[in-house]
Amino acid sequence: MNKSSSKTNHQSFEKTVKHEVDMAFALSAQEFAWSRFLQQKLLSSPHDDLISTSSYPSEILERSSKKQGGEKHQDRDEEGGEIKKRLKELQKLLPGGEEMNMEEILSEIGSYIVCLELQMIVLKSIVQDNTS
Amino acid sequence: MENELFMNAGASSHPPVMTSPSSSSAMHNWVSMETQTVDPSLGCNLFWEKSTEQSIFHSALSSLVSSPTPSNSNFSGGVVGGENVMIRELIGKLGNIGDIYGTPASNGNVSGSCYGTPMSSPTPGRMMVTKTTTPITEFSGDPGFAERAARFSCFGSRSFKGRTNSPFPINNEQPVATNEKMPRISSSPALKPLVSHVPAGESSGEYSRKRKAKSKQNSPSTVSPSKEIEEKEDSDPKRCKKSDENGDKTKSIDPYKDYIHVRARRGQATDSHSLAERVRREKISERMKLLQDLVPGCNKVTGKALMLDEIINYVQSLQRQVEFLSMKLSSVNTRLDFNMDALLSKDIFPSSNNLMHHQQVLQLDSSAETLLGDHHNNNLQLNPDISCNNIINPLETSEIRSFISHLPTLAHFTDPISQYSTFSEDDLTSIIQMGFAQNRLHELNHGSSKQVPSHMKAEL
Repeated sequence: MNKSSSKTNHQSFEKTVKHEVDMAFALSAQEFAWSRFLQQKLLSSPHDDLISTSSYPSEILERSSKKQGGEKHQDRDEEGGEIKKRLKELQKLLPGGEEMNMEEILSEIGSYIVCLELQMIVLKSIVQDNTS
Repeated sequence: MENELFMNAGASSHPPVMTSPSSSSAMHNWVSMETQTVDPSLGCNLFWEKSTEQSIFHSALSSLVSSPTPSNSNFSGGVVGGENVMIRELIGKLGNIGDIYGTPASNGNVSGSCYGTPMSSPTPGRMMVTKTTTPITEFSGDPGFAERAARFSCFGSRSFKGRTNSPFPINNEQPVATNEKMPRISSSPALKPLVSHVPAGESSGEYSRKRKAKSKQNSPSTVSPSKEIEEKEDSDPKRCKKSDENGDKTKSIDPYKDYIHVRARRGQATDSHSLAERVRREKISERMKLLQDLVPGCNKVTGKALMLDEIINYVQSLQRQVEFLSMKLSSVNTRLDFNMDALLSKDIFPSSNNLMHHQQVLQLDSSAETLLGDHHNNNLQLNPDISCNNIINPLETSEIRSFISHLPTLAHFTDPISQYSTFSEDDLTSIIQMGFAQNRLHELNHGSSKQVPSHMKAEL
């Protein structure tokens, strides 16, 4: 009884921390569409899972293998289709990506990547500080 | 003033203090610094990572800016004002940096085709950059440099082409544009904001426009410098439409210039649709190039689809890592004991307004030390009150201090703290409620509630 309650407590605590981390992340770079979107989402629904970690990689691998085995003719069309699939994936990854077109996604994803890297550095240092 | 303009224009190499002078706190500077780093990293990753190149650029800029206003006699024709001269000189010097100055027709050249004859006269003083040539050649080959040079050349060419414009509108616009440039830059690749800003005040002739009737331009002098410098390796003087990007951000001000002019390449369709397609494709490939720089391991991959794959994988791995780290952080923090007073200061948040939240959160780390240090004894008293809970166990105050100072530190990087404060309210109260007896807190609240807010206020 105690343990289960503590587990749920721990989970909610984890969610809280995650939420906070996400919020800091979104707040760390205000100028991008994705950060604004993320911020809004975080504010509106405090305890949802925002950065989805569902297993997209498997899908990606499937698709790339498909592409290699794909036909040679109509390369451009195929490529366009492949690209579109991947763009859709990117859309899902990027917060707020659903409403963007291709160009926007590409421009936003660069800043998103950099901010993610930065956030990772920050988190790593925090964790290291607290564990060492 | 031109110097200032240039400092802003050359902005990415300079601290954002200039562009956000009225910013109230270091936070904003950090943010703009962050955005500043984003932009160069998008366009000039290599450039920023090589300190030699950076120092070259710094020295170049400083020397350029500090150099005395050149005499107008060096430039023939079209000199409208001191600003133009200054800009032209800068561009000329940049061309010297790249050591590609002598060929106006060469591609990828700053002082090249966009300037035609006037720049063929040797600029005053061969470059005062004293660095060796090898980093310079690296420098010039850097796509980031090309973009930066393009940025400068855009500013310069605007004034140079200002035959229909007096320089004053440009002058007026530039400070505004460049002031807004910092946030704009960050939201798009390096080239985009300059493009969107430069043609904002653009009148005629500079950027090729697209007219449905004709797809070829007759006048050779109208050049779109940025794109041309950056990309066009082919001999055809293709004027690409940067204004297409403008269409995304700032629609052309003048309805007369609402069209986007593109010159068709040789042997390619001159259809308006295909032209638009082509421009769009080029834009996309340009962005992909930038992304290639960002994502490690993308250089070996060719083709859009594979690169997109790489990018997706990279973003996913980054996200997973961040999530893992946050989980780890939460597991680390569960071992920390919350000092009573830290709790108090947090608990007070719900009772105060947003401003207080903001300031309290910010001041938390600075005040945390004093609070924690003074009331270490209370830890021992508090422990028995902790309901049997696996979450929080007593530990040293040093850990607490670091933890607390770190959590708000993340908030330090933000401007709109009020949002964070309303957000933190729920979280902190939930944290508090998780591990501690309510009664004790209320007691303590009543006891020292007066002191702590005043303490907080005093630090504001």
